Amino acid sequence: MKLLRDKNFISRSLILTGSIILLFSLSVDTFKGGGQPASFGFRQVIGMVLGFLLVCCGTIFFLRNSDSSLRERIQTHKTSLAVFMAVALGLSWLLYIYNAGIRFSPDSVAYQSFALKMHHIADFDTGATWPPLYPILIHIVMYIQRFPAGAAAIISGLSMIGVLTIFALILCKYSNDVALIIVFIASLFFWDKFLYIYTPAWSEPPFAFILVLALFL
Amino acid sequence: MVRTSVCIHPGSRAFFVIKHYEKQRTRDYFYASLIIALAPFIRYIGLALVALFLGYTIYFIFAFRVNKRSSVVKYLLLSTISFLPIGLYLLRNYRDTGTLTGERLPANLTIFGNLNSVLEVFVQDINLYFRILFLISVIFYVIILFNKNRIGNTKNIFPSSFILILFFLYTCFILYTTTQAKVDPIGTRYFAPLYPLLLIFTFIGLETILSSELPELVGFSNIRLFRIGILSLICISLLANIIGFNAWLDNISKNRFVPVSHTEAGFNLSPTSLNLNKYFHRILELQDQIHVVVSMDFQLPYDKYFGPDMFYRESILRSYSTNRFAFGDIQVYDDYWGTIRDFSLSMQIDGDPKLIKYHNTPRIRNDLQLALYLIEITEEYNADNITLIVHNENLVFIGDDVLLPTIDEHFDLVSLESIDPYHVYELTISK
Repeated sequence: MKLLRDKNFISRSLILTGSIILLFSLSVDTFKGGGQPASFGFRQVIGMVLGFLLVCCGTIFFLRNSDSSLRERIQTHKTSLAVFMAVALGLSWLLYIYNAGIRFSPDSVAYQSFALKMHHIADFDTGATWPPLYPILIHIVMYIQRFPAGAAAIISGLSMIGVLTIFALILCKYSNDVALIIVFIASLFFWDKFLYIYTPAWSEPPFAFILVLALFL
Repeated sequence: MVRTSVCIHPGSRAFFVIKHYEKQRTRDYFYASLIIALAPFIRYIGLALVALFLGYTIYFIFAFRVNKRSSVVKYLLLSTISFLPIGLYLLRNYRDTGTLTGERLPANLTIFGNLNSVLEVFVQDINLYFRILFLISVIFYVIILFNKNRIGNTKNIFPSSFILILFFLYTCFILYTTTQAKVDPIGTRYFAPLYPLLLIFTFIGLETILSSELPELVGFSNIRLFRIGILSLICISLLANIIGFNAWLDNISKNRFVPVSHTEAGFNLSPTSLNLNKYFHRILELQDQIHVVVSMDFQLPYDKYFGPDMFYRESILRSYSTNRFAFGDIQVYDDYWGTIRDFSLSMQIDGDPKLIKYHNTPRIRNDLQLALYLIEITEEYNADNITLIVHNENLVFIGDDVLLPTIDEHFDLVSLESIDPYHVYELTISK
C-alpha cells in the first residue's frame, strides 16, 4: 500500500516492465506460440515496440509528476514523439510484410500482371476495369525490387508508414495530450481489420494513404 | 497550456483542405486538389472524395462570400485539377468499352441486402467499446453543431463534418456500385481505408469533450467521473484491439505452416509453393512450350474465390530466373464474374523464348473421368507423353491403388516422383 501511494510507483513499474520486455524481445522471440517452426519474429519486433511504448508511457507519467519545465519540454516535443512512434510501428510492418511475404488474391494477380507488362514491355493499358495507378506504383518500385510481389510488399509497408505518420500529425494538431495520442496510434495499428487490407497485394493501402493525405496533408 | 511550435517536420503546416478552410489560401486548395485527383486512379470509389471536394468548393464560395468574379473563376479552374484527369480517363473507357468502369454482370443483391452487409461489417469490424466512443462523439458533435452560439470553441466542427460527409458519400457510392454491378461482396476490404478517418473523428470528439466544460453544459454534474469513464473506455477499446490482433496473428502463424495454404501469410515460407516454383523452373529449362492443364477438385482453404489457376500463376509469377515476361490474353476473372480463366504467358529464360499456356477444365470428380480426360488432351495436343501434377487431396490418392490402376488401362506409367513431401506428386505417363 505504501508503494501504491508513491507518486512515481506506476511510472517506475512501467519503465521496468517495458525495459524487461524490450531486452527480452531482443534476445528471445517472446510471444511466440509453441510448436511452430522458427520464422521471422514479427512478434519479436512487436515485443520491442511494446516494451518501448511502456518505457515511453512510464517516462511521460514520470515527467508529469516532475517540475513544470520538463512537462513543457515533453509538450514541445509531442509531435516528434508521436511521429517517431508512428514511423517505428510502420517500419515494423514493412519489415514483417517484406520478409513474411504478401498474400495474393485474384485482384493481386491482375495488378501484378499489369505491373509486369508495364515494366517489361512498356504497355500501360490496364483496361477499363482496373484503375492504373496501383500497377504503376508496383512498376516504379520494381526498379528497386524486380520481383512484383516484393514490390507490392514494399508499397504495403510504405503506405502503412505514411498512414500512421499523417494520422499522428493530425492527432497532434487537435490535442496536447501525448498519452492519448499514443493510445490512438496504437489503437489504429493493432486494429486487425485495418491491418487486413495490408496483407494482400491490393490497392487499398495506397488508397487509404491518399484518403488521409488528401484531407489532411 | 503549451502549444507546439517546434517541429522537425512540417506537421503544423500540413492540412490542405482544413488549412484552406482556416486560412483561405489558394496554395493549399491547389495541393488538396492535386492529391484528390490521384484517389480515383487507385480505386474508382475515390470518386466519392472528388465529389465531396467539389461540394466543398461550392460551399466555400458561398460561405466565405467569394464575390470577386476573378476569385470564383480561379477556384472553379483549380477544382478542375481534381476531376478533369479522371473524367478524361472515364471517357476513354466509355469510348473503348461502352462503359465507364468496365463491363460487369448485373448485381444479384438488392440495396437492402447490401445495406444489411454494411451494418454487419461495422458490427464485426469495430469493437463494442469503440462503437460506444464513436456514438458519444457523434452525440456531442450534434450538440456542438446545434449550439454553436452558446459554445465558443467550434473550430473542430469543420474537420468532423468533412469526415462524416465523406463517410456518408463513400457508403452511398458503395451501395450504388454493389446494387448495380456484380463486384466483390461488401466486406472489410471496402471500409478499412476509412478506419483512420473514423478514429480521427472520434479522437477530435473525445478531445473536445475531455478538454472543455461541455459535459457539464449538457447535464453531467460529475465531470471527473465522466472523464474517467471515457478514458477507461479508450483503454478497454485498445485492449480489445490488441486481443483481436493477437488472435489474428495466431491464425496467420498457424496457416502459414499448413502445406497447402501457401499465401495466407506469405509465399516465402510455404513448402508447397517453394517446391512448385522449383518444379516450374526445372520443366521450363527442359521445354520451350508447356501446357498447364488444371482440373483438380481442390480449393485452397482460406479463400473461396481463390482457384487453382491462381496457385499456378502465382508460382510462375514469383520465378526469379524468368527475366522477361509478356502476358497474352490475360483474363483473371473466374466463373463468379462470368468469364473463363485461361491465359498464356510468354517469357525468356537466359534468352530462350518460353511459353506457358494455361487451360482451365471442367471439374473432374473421379479417376475414370481423369483417365478419359487425359486421352482427350493427348489427342488434342498430339502429345506422346504427359506429366501430371497430382495434388493428393480430395480426388486422388497415390499409393491407395485408386488412380494408378485406372490410368494403367490406357497409359504406361513412366515415372512417379514426389515433388512435395506432403501433397504434390509428378506422374509421367505415355500412350
